[in-house]
Amino acid sequence: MFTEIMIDEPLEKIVDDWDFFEDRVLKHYSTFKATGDNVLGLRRRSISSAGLNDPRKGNISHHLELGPDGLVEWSHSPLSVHVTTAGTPHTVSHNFGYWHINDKDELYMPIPERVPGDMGYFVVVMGNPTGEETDAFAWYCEKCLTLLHDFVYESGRLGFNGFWKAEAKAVRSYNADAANRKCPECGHQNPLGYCWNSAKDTPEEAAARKLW
Amino acid sequence: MDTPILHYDIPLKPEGGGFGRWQATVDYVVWSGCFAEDDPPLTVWELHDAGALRIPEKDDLMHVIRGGTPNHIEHLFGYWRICDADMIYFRTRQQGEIYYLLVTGGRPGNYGRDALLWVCPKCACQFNRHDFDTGIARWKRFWDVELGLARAFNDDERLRTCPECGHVHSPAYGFYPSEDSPAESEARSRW
Repeated sequence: MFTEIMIDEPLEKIVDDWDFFEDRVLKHYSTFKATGDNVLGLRRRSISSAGLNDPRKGNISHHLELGPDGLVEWSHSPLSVHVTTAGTPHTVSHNFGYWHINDKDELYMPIPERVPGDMGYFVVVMGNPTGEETDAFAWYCEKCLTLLHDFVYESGRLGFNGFWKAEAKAVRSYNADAANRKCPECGHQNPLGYCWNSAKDTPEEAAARKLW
Repeated sequence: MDTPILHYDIPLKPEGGGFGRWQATVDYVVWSGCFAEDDPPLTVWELHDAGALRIPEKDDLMHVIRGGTPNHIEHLFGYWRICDADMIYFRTRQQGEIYYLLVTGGRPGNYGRDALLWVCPKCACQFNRHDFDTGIARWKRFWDVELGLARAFNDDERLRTCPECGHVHSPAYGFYPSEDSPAESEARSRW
């Protein structure tokens, strides 16, 4: 219907990143990148009804959220959007070794591979913080859920680009002292934390990643 | 006290049918749908300074319609919409079906207005525009009135006549096919 007013020029000249699943665009989103109203993370992963497998981290299907009634466990379903609401502490086993608490909804969508042996797309979308929002890294006792340690990054004021440096700082501060990991309520000694990027794991952090 | 909502699970193939309803989380307004592979594709059009841009269909596509860009999605809504928040469009072909997802919102406080208008297919003139204060808290305002505006457009040829070139625009239709009249259903099949 609109062919008479269509732009003649190649699409890429008007909108360079018109398809975020194109390899040349997707590679810029392998961690997180702020784009317009959102922060986007795009990963190639093996996705099926059996679970979610990262090439380097293995099975990362097991998700936990912490609410007023305690732990909620859930797993991704292919072709189903999961939205972790703003303010909910959440962690993903073997993916990142802390509880992430942000002030924005976090949306995940797993799109399975069509061809066996290929990889699907795993999309993470969350609001781009520009105000008073924060991202917090927290640790709760794995036995009794007592808050052990937390580190708050003012992502709205300082910008989301500082997220990964803040994450590394938070993990280092938690791991630096065994007293941080000893629960003041039940006395349980909790495992070390680790960052999202497994390539930078110390041997001790790699061992912790296998545990939780 | 109600149990707080920790999360939402929104299947791309909605329960009870292939055409979902718009729903809101804290920061987003979301729609999903699933159609047969041979159904007409829900193709995105955007209006830029140089003219209309058609986003090609692909087996897997993730496209961001930037806030403030007039956009139309073929066979999904029979008008152009301008939302001041970004809208992310997903499409994936899986086992003989095409799944779609639209996600509007993100940046806290940025979503505040929607507009509905028509674009002349002969000269790209924007006309018969209606603006709304919406945003996450009032997102339903747009969806409550869009069908009525499409029907008013259809009922009055003057509203469908381009003020620049005089071309009479084809009839429009609303968002939800279940509410289409026969004439609106026919219009949906055409654009």
